[in-house]
Amino acid sequence: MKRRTALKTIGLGMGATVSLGTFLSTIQSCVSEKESSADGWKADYFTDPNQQKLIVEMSDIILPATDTPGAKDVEVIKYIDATVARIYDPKTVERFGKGMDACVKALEADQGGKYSDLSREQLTAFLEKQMGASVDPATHKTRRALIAEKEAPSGQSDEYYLYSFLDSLKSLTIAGFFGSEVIGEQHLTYDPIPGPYQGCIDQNGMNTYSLS
Amino acid sequence: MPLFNENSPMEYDAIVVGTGISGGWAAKELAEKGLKTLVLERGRNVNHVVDYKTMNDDPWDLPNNDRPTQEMLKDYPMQNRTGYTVRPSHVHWFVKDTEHPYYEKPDTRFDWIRGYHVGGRSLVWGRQSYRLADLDFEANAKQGIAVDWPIRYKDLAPWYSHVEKFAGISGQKEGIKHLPDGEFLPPMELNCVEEELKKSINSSFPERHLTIGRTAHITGDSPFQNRGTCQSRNRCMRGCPYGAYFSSNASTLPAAEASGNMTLRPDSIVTEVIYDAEKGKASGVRVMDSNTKEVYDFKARIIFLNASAIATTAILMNSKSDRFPNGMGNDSGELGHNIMDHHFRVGASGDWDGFEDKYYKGRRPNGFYIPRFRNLDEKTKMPDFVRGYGFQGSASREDWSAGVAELGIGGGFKDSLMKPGGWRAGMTAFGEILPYHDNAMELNYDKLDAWGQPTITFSTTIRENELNMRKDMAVTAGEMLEAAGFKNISTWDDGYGVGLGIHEMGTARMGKDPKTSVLNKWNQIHAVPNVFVTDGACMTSAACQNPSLTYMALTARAANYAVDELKKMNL
Repeated sequence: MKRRTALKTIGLGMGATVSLGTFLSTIQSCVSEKESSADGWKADYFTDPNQQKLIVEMSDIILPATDTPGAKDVEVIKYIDATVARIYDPKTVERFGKGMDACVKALEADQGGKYSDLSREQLTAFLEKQMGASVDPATHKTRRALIAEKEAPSGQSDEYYLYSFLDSLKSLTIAGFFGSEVIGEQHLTYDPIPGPYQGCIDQNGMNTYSLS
Repeated sequence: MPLFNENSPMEYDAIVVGTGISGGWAAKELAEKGLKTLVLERGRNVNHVVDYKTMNDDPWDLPNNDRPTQEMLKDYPMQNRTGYTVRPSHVHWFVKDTEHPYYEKPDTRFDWIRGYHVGGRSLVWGRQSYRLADLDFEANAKQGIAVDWPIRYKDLAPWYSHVEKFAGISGQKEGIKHLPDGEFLPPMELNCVEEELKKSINSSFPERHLTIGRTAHITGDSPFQNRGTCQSRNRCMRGCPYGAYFSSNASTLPAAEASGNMTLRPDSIVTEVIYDAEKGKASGVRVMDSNTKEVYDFKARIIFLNASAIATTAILMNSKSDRFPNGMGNDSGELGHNIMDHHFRVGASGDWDGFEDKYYKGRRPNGFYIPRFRNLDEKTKMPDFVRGYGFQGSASREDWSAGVAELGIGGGFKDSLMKPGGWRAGMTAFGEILPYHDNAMELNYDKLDAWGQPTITFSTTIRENELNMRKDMAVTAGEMLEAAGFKNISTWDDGYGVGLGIHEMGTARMGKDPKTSVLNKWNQIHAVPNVFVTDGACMTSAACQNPSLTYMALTARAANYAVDELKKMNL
């Protein structure tokens, strides 16, 4: 990773005098050398290939490629898998697992047929119904209140787990996507060494900063 | 750093125990005044810059995007009470609770957040730097609470200036009597929404002010010693490659080193201060090497204890002799009592409509500050609590994470999340905790640590005065946002355990009377005049300002006094 070497060198050299232009060109020259993704990665949580495929597809429907990459391109599945396998506490993992089951059940009931046989169009239709822009805002509000509960209220178990799962999936997809190196360095505004803080500048259409 | 080696002497003019904010200052002042000074640190050595392993890592460079795994958390059940210490980017600056356990009495809680290494918590501190004022120094006496401070603002003012000029404090002069101005480097900027909030507070609440945080960062264009200017990376907790924020590693220890008079010995656990009954003074300290567990006695003419409020007091409590059966300097019975901190995690936030075409540049490692405005005088007197609180907060634009709770999926949704969202502002109060004798620590000889040393059991809680203050904090935070025109305002109280502010203090308080205090007005143990305590342990009351700057000033003042007294052969 030449970029990191460059960063470290600048850091060690009391970078107050390094100009931003020099710095940015150093970064850009390194971006094209990004390693390939054929790295023999294996899932720790989504060990069932059908479940893994479902997560990959659904996350890519939430954030698909446009003129910028989508969830598949930046391999958001790796982030989602690592989070559920290693970051979530046991209770959250359990809730996520139950939610996945509830989602499969709802998906199959809605679209007909086994979930692993459904097309991308069918998955999209299902997700649009659950979390698309056309969902009634009042319904959305009720669902958000439901999943804010610590336990499933009696009689609402299926709904509770389904919407908890969809919320987690969306949250993980967004965090994994926007927190990725490709999006962070090439598509959002990447500003590793901003210099003195400027409190009020014109936005001029610029994207959100990738570092916080 | 000049490290102790087999040829180093066992006897010095001065010994400093601890290398955090106050220990670094003691080392600098004593060594620069010509005293051969041994600086002891219980943790490992940390070399400035070269040991800041994560300082340039982006989130995607760090394991699990800088989030703690369940496996990591097993070692840090107490440190993780903060919610932010256990991250791959800086977890190496915090102790493993499994290696350094402590205990709590039933139904009480104390959050003891620590880092054992050269530099201590000066590497991870919040850097907010405010002077105390006579409103604070006189409060105990006026209200008949605990004991009076033996000093007043005029005693400390020149020393505040002394340490500010060397540490580098950025801030704005405001002429507020109870938050005295200091020797400031240029202030950092407020952003557009913070400026609006400031204007509104000025016009709606005559006794309230909003100013940019006063923070220990190098700003402006003038060269500052061997340190660089803040680059607004907001990665301070990892250690700064520019040395732009004040830490012992960047500032005081290099100065002590430059004097040629300092010897640093890491991996050195001070187990007790040795008392010489004939001379009525301390003769030195006993040290256990943390690696070999070998024990050494080091001698010195004066000893500065700067191991942190809790650890310094634990050393004194463990320093038992015929003269001091209950711990060195504990004639009053106050040693280990009156633990204070700042209670927080109460505040408000809200949305701002407008300024969609405005943004900022940089991740400012600082926010705004609203100084205390309660109980300043008769007009601002509150019916159900004494003392007061200040607010720290900031405004910023939301990012993609706000998209989780919104409806929408697909390409257009994704593209919209690439752009900055709306403006939000929030603020959190930091309030004074009164000194309660029953908020205490004791040594636990039933549960020894891996070095055979006693552990500590705490018993601390906040009480009615703090609980009433918390209600007021939420109300005033909300009303200031409301008056400024913020929308969707929510107020919160997320709960608090003593210690969580990481401003623990008061366990060996200063006072006028040896019967009711441990230290005198020069931070000397009343009955052992060559032992000085200048870390948080010495505080007689907590005020509501972040305390580190006061520890620096008290340390520099005591160290210069100690050198003068040595010269006069009084010690």
